[in-house]
Amino acid sequence: MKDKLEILNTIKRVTPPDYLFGKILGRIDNKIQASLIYTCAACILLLITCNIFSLSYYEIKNVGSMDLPKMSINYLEYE
Amino acid sequence: MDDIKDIYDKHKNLVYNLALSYTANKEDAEEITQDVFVSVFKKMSIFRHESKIETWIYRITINKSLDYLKAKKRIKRKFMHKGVAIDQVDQSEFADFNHPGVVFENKEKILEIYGFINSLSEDHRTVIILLKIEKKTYSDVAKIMKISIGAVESLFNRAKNKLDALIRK
Repeated sequence: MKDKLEILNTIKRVTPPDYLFGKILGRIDNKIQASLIYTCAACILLLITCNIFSLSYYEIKNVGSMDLPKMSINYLEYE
Repeated sequence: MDDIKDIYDKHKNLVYNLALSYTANKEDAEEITQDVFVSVFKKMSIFRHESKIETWIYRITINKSLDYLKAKKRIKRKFMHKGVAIDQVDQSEFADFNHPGVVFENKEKILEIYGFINSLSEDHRTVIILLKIEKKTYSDVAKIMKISIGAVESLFNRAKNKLDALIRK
């Protein structure tokens, strides 16, 4: 068994290829870009949601203050 | 940027050779090396310096290598389970053996040993790789694996016995 494992001593240390560092930097940049895209998308989504809420609030407010007094009771009943 | 380059230059051989020890494949080791350094640079700000940076990088490399091998095995099993390309999927873990540090004359013998080492549990495999291939001391292995020196010794003895039994079969 000992002899069998001795052969592992013949494995030489090797150096990684030079292009590897460039690939790593590329992957880090991609990760940063991806997170930036996600942040932007989240901001846009938040703005749209805020817009929808403010619009619907405005409509409710309008209906409450202006539209209802104009409607007759009869109109509402027979509708 | 300089920090990143410094850390990479200082530890690239350690990471690449350790990944090669687990996978015995050049392409897989390159993939793991990339994963390790992306992870190291991302987590650098939360590294608490409780241990040496080298020990920390060793741990990340071991975990990434084991995860990579597990994922590779899963994909192979999926192929075999679906019955797709069964003839193309080699049962042997090291069918794609491509270790640039192994000389041609020893390839057959080392391939055989790698096959045995690979059938051990993760802890046994790690202890054999760190002690026998990486030539680390018991104390270093204990720090890397976060266990006592005594535990490393007993783990190594059990791994050796299991390997012995596998070789005799």
